[in-house]
Amino acid sequence: MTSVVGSAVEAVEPAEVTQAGPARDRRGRAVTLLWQVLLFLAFLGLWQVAHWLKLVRPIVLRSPGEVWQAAVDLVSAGQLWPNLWATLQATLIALTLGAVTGVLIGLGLALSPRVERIVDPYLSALNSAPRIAFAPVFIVAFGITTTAKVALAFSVVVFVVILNSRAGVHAADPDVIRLMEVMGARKSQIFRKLLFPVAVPSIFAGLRLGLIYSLLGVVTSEMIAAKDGLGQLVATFSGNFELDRVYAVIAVLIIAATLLNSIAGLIERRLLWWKPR
Amino acid sequence: MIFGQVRLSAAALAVIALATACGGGTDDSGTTADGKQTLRVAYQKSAILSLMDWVAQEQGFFSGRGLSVTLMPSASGQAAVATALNGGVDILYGPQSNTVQAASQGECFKYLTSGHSNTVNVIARPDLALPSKKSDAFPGGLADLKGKKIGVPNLGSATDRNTRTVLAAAGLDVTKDVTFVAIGVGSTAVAALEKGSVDALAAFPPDSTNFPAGSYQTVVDLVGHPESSPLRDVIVSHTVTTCDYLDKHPDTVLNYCRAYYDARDWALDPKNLDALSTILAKYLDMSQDAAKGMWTRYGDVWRQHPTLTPELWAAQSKFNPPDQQTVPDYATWVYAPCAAKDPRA
Repeated sequence: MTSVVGSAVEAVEPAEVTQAGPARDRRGRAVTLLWQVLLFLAFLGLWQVAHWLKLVRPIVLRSPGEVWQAAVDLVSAGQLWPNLWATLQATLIALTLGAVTGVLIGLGLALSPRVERIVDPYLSALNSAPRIAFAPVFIVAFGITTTAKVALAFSVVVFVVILNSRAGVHAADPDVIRLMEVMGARKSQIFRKLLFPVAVPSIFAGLRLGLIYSLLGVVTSEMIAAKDGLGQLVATFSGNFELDRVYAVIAVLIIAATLLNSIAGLIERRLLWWKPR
Repeated sequence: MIFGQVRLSAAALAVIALATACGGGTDDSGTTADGKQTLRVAYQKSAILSLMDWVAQEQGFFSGRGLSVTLMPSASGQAAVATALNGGVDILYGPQSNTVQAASQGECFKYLTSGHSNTVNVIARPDLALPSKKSDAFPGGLADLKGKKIGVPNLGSATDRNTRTVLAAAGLDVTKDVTFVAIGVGSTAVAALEKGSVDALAAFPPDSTNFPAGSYQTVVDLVGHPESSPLRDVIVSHTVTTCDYLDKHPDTVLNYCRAYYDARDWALDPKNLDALSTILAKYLDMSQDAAKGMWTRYGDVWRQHPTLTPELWAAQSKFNPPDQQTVPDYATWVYAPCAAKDPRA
């Protein structure tokens, strides 16, 4: 095998190729990471400069240092972890319930075209409803409990997963389905060998989206009425104009969501090892 | 009313962040074609805090003073402060405790009028044992709330702070002995008590009229026995403007205050009870009978402090957050032409 480096043509052994590839990948990832860090530092720098120059009212724009201190205070006061856990717990429960229900309904509908045609308008109508507005209804129905938070988040997540699961099945090539039918494959075989594997990437996309929506639903519910949770902290601190603390909690939410999303991405890559990235 | 809680929860963040981000407050007030001064006044739909604004609007006192007023609903006192900071409203409402934290970060407010005194009572589940209770007057059965969950509309709200004051006065350590839970207002608050999410809660009108008979018991009646109440001096419904607005529109503010006093005189005149009940019913979305009953129960809270004297102003600081207990300077914070005496004189 040959490789062009500058103007010279060199012979490269296959082994060197296989080592150079990953090395290039690692270098590429490092450069990307470096740029990401620089971008973050630039953001912090601009933020600090805006604070120094008072480009925005001080009550609104707190410095990065103040926000960091607020986060440290939240930890040392023992406020952060219990509330973070309350939020994450409800988020993951809602996601799990929404995922199981959504995948089952989504796949079921995709495999039953007649039923799908009947329920589709209702599904679309429910999906387009601003379900966050149901938050007070769930609080009245379930009290100020984790169940109320989970119910709201579930109502948001389940439709995302249903739609993605359906879309995943519908993405299967009809010619391949016909070919399998002609070759005598049973419906269960077509589902196991073709439809489900084809749908999995779309299902995972729905789950990753559902994770974000689940967090949104839980935090919204907490902001209205809750015993605990990061949403309740945001409501309390914003009511007291302690926006440094609000930003600290939001930063924690961003970090938590990013971590959960990364974990979901990792699981997805492991399960979908065959899928090109 | 319920959705007000969503706004309450998000408003101080979203409203401030979006609207005040560009620096100093602005306003679009001016005059109408018929020469009236325009004014935007915030009011809360889920409380009687802004009653005099409703009366002044409905009875034509604003118009009579040359004002064209737009009443703008606000989810809470804190949300109203946030909106005022960006010039979204010109006059807002609330206790001293709602503004001191914003003021400590460089914002400037002027208090215009006194307002009504405490409307909060503490009620509990009907099956909660209150062995220490001898009467409805303070301290009632507050000592029996040790270890219990107490509902307040929002953590950090004026009602939350006032409830803590009452419990502390009854000998409870509010940092250890009780757990405060944010329950919102309206149906979520009623559900919180019904479903046992909380053992007791701070109830105020109109919510206090929403609890079905037999669904609660009174722990302490602070409104009916104000003389013994730790909240006897608190004013929860001052009217306030920003220094920026007052500097630019002193005449408009003075006319607002005059109309406010017109409304107060009218509302407190017993012969206007039926008409007043109609106004209350309209703004609180309740029956006229319920409104009349509520006024009979709570009307006196408007009579206790007609003007905002230096002594009354100083007394408010003890209801402020723990880190804001210093008395704000009266001359700096209070607009004397409105607050110290009847501005119509």
